[in-house]
Amino acid sequence: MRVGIIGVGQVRSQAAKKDVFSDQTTRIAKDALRDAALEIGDMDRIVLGEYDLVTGRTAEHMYTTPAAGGFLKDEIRINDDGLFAIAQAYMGILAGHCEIALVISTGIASEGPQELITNMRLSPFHHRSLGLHEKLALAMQAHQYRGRHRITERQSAAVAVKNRSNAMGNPCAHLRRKVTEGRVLESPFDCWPVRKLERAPWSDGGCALILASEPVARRYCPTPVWIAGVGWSNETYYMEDRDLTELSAVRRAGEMAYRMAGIREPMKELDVAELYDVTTYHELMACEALGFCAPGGGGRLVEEGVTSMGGAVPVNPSGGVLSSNPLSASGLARLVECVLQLRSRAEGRQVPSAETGLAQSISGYAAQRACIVIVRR
Amino acid sequence: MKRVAIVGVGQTKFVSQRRDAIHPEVANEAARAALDDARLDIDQIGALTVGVMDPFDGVDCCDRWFCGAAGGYNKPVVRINTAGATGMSTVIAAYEHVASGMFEIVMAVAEQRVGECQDAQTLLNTCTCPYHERAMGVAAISLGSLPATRHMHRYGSTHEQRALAAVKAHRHAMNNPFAHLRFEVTVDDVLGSPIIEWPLHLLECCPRSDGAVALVLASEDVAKTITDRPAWINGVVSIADGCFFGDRPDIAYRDALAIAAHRLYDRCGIKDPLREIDVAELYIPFTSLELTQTEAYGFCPEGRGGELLEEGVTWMGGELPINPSGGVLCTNPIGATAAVRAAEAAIQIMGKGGMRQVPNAETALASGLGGMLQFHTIMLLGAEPR
Repeated sequence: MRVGIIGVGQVRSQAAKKDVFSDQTTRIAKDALRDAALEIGDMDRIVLGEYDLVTGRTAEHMYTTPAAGGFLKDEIRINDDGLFAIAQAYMGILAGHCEIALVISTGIASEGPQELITNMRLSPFHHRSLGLHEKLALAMQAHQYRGRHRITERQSAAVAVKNRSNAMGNPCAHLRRKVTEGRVLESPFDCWPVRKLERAPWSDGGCALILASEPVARRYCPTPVWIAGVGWSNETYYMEDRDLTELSAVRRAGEMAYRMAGIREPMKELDVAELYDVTTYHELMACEALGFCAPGGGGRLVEEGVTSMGGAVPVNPSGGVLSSNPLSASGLARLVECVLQLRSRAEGRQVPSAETGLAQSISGYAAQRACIVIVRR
Repeated sequence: MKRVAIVGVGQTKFVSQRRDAIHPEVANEAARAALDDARLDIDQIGALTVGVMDPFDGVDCCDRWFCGAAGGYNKPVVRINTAGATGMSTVIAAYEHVASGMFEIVMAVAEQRVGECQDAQTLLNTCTCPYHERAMGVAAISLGSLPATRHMHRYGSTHEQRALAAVKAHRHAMNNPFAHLRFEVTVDDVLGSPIIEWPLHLLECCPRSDGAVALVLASEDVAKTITDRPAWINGVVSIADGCFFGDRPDIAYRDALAIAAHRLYDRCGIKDPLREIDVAELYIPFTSLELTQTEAYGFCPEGRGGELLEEGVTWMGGELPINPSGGVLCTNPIGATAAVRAAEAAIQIMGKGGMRQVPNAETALASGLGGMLQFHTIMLLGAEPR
């Protein structure tokens, strides 16, 4: 049996939302239901993907579950990036646990000091007192990567220029201003060697998808987008035990998803990819881990325009995480964009006749975990 | 769609605070015990689900730190957090991994070290609404005390009836080598202990525990090759209620749990739960909930939970022993607690209960409870697949 995606919803990412965070959840859920022309009563299950503490509380889903329409419904929450919730919802449907599920992530970065919160995710004995936080670890990783493969500043800047330019076509993007190579390279260092315009902002936003078993999907939707492959993996927590120049969790997750989708040559078989470009370097590393090019070839890939709109595999037509980073929902938003592309609904940033798309997310310190979802029309 | 069974269970001895081990070591202990119980090697495990509730452990997203030691290195790992129901949701997630046909053998690992946080109630207070409830100091104990007073008012239940739940739990825990609190108490002890939040006394409240639990789940294709007596997962139900206490029709009885129980019984064809279920491991963190839950599950008529306790129906040797392990009143590693319920129910079906074994347990019920009586997760296990 296949599992189809029959509806997507999202709100525009912004620096700081103006309403109560659970109201945002309701808006996202309603948008997805409107897109699918369904009502909340049609849903069997709510699958949430969100972190605790980012809004200063524990058990945040006490509010987001009812706000997503979960009253007296089956509920489960994946405490990770929202794309992992897709993996769980997918298995839940195959398991016959439910037929139709709303997968939803509310991303709120504005309500808490994210550097402090991510510092609290470190072991108290070895890492926390170093003052590390996730952004710093990503920068350390970027530094190692670019040193190993001699990635140039201009290659990194090219990612920012490409994605920020793509975001101009995306009404839900947070940062909608083009940047030039000059502006990127003049922007101040955020965490060396990553500059402010080379890393994702913090955003408030969120998105949702409706997944259904094949018979139900066909009943409600003439043209569902099908989940062709799902893969996820987990590396060791200890960064010092890893080769940081490679996103090995992404590679393993990609292998699992490719195997399931029967993809052998990603560059030929994929039409669009939405990658977790939390820094410019991480888009390049993800391209390599997913076999778009050989290790170290990411820089040339973007330079040659292979991943630009009009290239062989446009990467991040939505503008990517570099343009909107609603924490928790940032990975799930990658899949929303792939679905819009496959449905030819990505006005202003449409990849022509996209048949197969790939969404990728990472979470944890220096990409400890990764999840990949491949969708087909 | 595959049928799924629990084929191995491992848990640590639960204590107030593990000063001898760091988080990965504690998770490793439980995972190894579960693998030993199933006589499997970590390489035979296809994926992991991990459960922990933030941030009692003093480390946010602590699963990232401990899941490698639990066997999650280079494997697919999904992290679950549904507050108090986390443990059961973690097992449900693992169940779906296998039932979907994606994996043959999966391990669910839940850990919590409440001993690492200075004040669990202050922390739990942050789960309540910052505009309406938080300033009142509402925390986990309120989900026991408010139904207690409501039940007394509505049905005339007594302090002594509630105290019996604590007496029973503590007597049962004497048989469980993994239980945290292992001492017997009398009704007088319970009612003589300090009031924590009226009308609940100290001995009517769960402790806060450190520890971990792991369960190995396998598909019907391999379960019988792993163990002669797997515990088949025959039904799984999860339900979410609204988040405000004041919106509930009646916190002493008509909560979402009664609806969830009926959904489970419908799915599994259970008509007379008291007779058809042999043993139950229920998430009962406060004595008052023993009354409300036994009623919601239909083990007795509405309002008669106290009498059920007095008549000994739910004690060891009764018609339907509830919490032979001593339950949550004696062991409460919050995010792992509900997984302990699933593990203990599986132990009963597998006949590995030792001193706490209910003879001829063929059907077992296990439950999880999260939020302010908001999330209920229940599971029916059987010696035969349904």
